Amino acid sequence: MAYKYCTATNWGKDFFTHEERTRFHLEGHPGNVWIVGDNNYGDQWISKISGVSKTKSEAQAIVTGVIETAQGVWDDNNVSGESSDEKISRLGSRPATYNII
Amino acid sequence: MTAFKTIKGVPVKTISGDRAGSSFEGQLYYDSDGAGAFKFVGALGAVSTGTWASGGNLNTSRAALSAAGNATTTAGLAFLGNTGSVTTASEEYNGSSWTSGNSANTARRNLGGAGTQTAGLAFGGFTATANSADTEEYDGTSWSEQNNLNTARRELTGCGTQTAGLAFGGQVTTHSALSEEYNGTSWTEGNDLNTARSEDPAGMGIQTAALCAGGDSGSVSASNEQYNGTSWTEVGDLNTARAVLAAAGTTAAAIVFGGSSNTVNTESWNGSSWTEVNNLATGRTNLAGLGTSLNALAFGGSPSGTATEEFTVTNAVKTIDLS
Repeated sequence: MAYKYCTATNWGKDFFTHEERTRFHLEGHPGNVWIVGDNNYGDQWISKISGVSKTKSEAQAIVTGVIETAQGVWDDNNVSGESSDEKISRLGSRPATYNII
Repeated sequence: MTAFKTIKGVPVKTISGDRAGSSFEGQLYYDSDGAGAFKFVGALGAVSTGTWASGGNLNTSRAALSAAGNATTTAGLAFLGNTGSVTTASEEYNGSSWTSGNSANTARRNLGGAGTQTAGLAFGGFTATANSADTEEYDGTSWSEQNNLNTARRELTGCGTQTAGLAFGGQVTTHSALSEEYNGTSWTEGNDLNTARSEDPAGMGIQTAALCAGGDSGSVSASNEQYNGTSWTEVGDLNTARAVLAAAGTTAAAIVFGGSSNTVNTESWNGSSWTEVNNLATGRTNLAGLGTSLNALAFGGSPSGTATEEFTVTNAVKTIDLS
């Protein structure tokens, strides 16, 4: 399956509809990155939400950048005497980077 | 040939796109999209046809929050959670947007929730420094302090109503199997879960018929247990093991969604087994959910923060072939 990539801020209700979800693949990722099925309906949705087109590598860089920023925040949030398990319990797991499709 | 207008007294309406809501069931219309086609709105579809669409965004971005609203997605309640620090923020959903309400009294995250938008229940969780046993009730306007849980704990879950609530699982000093019943005034210890678990397992149902699915029992779990008002029994496991997930529904029909590794995965429960159905658009952990197996809300969580999605099973729309 082929995909297109864009960025757009989710404004909430009707940003994507049930009908649209049946017509093309859609994934949201950190950094307001959206992976959109490459068909006419996907193109219409990108237009509807005024999506800014990205290449896959550009989209990946945005996602990774947001996660790396979150990793830095997580790394810098420490309590004296706290074990690693206690830190995970307090903050949740350290955000992990991943590859988008 | 007799004209439709002659039979029904009104012409067939021309509209654009599918009209799949239950209020359109049994109606014939002309869809002007594309080449155009006559369509008929049939009966409610199977849960496998349900999809997630975007809903109104939360006003306060947060994870590890809780929720009340066990019957409808047009009257939901989101409360407390983690915004980077623990919060008392409370918001009400009307089917399209969230409105900030009065704050709860004790800020905490990874708590349990039950009830409805006008009769909500918040219990347990983690304050900035310690596990909490604190219980608060919401009356549609404000939060008031109630009698505490018997055992303070975080990462628990719950279900039921404000006058018949159920709290189970969680983290005390390790994974907990504790189960407590609330009668509108006080909490009473019940029989334990078979599998102790923390990290916010999914809670569904009512005090006398509940499900507890997923969580962390030393590793991320697929285990699912059913409560009959007296004891917990192992029932069909999730297909995808996960913690910090959310759920909606009952012991007869439920869905779970999201969870570990920011999954988009959604599964449907039919009373005996889980089946994969259409996924969330935005993967997330530590989210909250409410509603039913056919109309559910997913909101908040990490990393999505404010995003809300609405799961809806709609009526089947059939195209009528006139050739």
